[in-house]
Amino acid sequence: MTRRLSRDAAWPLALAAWGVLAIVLVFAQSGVWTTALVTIGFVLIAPGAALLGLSGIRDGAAMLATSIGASVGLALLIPSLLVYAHAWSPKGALLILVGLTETACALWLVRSRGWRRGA
Amino acid sequence: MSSTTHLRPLELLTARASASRLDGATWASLSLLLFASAYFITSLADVNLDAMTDIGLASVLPPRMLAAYALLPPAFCLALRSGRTWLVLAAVVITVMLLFGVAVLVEPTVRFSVSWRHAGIAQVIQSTGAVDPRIDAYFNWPGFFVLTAFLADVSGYANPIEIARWTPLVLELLYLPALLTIGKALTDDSRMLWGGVWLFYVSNWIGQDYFSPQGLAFLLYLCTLAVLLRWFQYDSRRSSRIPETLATLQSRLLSMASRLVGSKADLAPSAPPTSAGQRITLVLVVVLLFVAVVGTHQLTPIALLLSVTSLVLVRRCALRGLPALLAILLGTWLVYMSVAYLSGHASDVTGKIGAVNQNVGSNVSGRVKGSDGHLAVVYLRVAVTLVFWTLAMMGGLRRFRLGFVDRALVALAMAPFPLLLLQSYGGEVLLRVALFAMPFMALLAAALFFPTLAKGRSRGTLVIFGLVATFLLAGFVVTRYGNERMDYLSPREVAGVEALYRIAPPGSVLVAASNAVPWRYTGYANYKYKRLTGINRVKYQVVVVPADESTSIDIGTASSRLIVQQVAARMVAPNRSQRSYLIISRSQKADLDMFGPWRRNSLQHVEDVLRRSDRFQIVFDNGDATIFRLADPTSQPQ
Repeated sequence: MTRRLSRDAAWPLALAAWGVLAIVLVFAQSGVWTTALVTIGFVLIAPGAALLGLSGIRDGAAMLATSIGASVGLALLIPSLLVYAHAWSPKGALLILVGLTETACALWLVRSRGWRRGA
Repeated sequence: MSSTTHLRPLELLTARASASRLDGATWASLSLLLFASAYFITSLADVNLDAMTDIGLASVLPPRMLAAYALLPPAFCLALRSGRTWLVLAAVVITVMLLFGVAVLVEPTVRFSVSWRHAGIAQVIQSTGAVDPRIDAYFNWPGFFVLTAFLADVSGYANPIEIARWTPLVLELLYLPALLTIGKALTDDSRMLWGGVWLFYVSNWIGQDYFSPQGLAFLLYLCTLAVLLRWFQYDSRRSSRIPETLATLQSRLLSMASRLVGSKADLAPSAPPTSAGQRITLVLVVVLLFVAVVGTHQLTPIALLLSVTSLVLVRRCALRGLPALLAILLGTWLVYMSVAYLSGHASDVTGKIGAVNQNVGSNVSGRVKGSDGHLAVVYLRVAVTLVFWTLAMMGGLRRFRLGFVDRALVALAMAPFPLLLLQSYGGEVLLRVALFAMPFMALLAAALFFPTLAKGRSRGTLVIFGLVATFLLAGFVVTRYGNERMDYLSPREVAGVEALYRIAPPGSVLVAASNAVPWRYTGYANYKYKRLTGINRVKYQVVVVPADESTSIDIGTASSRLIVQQVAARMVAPNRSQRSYLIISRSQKADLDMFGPWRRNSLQHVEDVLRRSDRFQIVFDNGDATIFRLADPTSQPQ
């Protein structure tokens, strides 16, 4: 059971760690190339992957495609809402995306533990 | 007999392949991929961009790089024969990197002048935090620009142009999961799936994957269709709640189809089971994607609406209310968010609705012009597209004769064509239609070679597929990078534009001979931008300067004085506090040489004339870019 739980936990933990790393790099103002690679990669994949993972959708390429679509959609919508609300804040938008990802990953972990216990 | 009984899932093939040891085809494919990558990497330094001719990048690619490209089709075919998914995936990814990465790797700057303009729009948002739709049309569909401003800012860049360089390669790789999902939802045959994906890439010369709203919108278009095809298949057991008229239209269309094809079955691999919660999540993702695409690009949401509607009509999408919802979202955006643009351009948007001849004509005749080298590229583009579409049609017919009616595939391949009825879209609507239809045309084209699991398994079929793929790939190298002499922007040109912004105070009039100049990436709204050539050709010998700035000045005169007079007149500043500068650069000369409206080397002649004139002063010159200042920017032409 422990092995299965840790395998289930790998993806949400990795996505959550990616978000934390992105925040650390952005706020520490480290090298732009590293920050760009980690942050843009995170923004384009992780929020959608976390939300889909939470809903229990796992389907290889389809999940990746949907994750990319959802992530790009969120990364486009959240900063746009801030712009139209006259509250433009790129770092604020990133914090919202990371917060969304961390929350979804936490719930994903809780759900996977619950499923295992019930199984 | 149902068509699906002919088929075995992809997993059966791959499991069988992975169970065995690496065979000859696997080793051969791996070796070819390694050789291709090695040849490609070692030949990058040998590309001499300054020697490019009017046929573009192909004219300067070294033989080793051409050899690398020649190895890709056999490598892919052997990978396909091996049946190993990881190897086929590797072959596709390496193909994408070699085909779409070449310009990124050999050119030290961001290619394509429009990318620089797009970066400038994003930079306005990044620096002001606001969207002003009065600046120009782009600000009425700001999604892409807000996203890139956001990404540049959090990455620590002051200008989004810094993240623009790798866009084509990144976007093409991001398209891959969606293409695979679409393919897997439309066929159980792995060879048709991968063959279609590979044909999509080697045929995608259209080049809309640069730093642009349409490149991103195409990704959203593919992702939306991937979600719908994968998870929202029509379930005939559910009770119908659609409006009666739509239901009638659906059943008439389907009964017509069944009369045509008898009892032949549609091919639709079953959707994975999903819970109610998962379906709600996926519907929300679809709505999110559509909102994103509506706020990003003018044309893509309409193409998506057509595609989704066609899926509903052929009963391949269970979300039957989705077209209505998408139409409402689209209408809402047009009415509320893009009113600033539409109020001044309503006739531009609606003026050519239904004028299909005019729309297609402007797309074809408007592009078949230019230098001999460029014309050769244009003719090859037309030929490759026609061959590609013919392969798709033959593939669809072959499947039909074998008992398959790929309703969804054909519907999606045809859905973008009604866009031709709407408008010419600046002479580009045919290109966009070809792009939106391309993923589905590619699958149909692959079906010509691999129509069923039982057929097309011989070596001969793979050889023929490889030869056709080689033709398309050879065409790609010329068609995709055929404008590269103009699209390439040298570091010295970029340095020239940087100097222009250092020299010219905000509010100045900045003039270029054509659009092929890497400017407007900064100071987008702080300068008055003009050109010497416009979309309207000169129709008369000019004595007075055309007042209409969309008309090219006429340099078909022997009189240097008249040339100076016309250039100076185009540069006139509205008031005394403003200065006026003209930048002439390498890529502008290439643009005018290749596309006109002037004769070859005319811009060099203009530059020589201006250098001799006392009305102009050279304030910067580095060989690839020269900046002239008009001595008295407010004086009218003599």
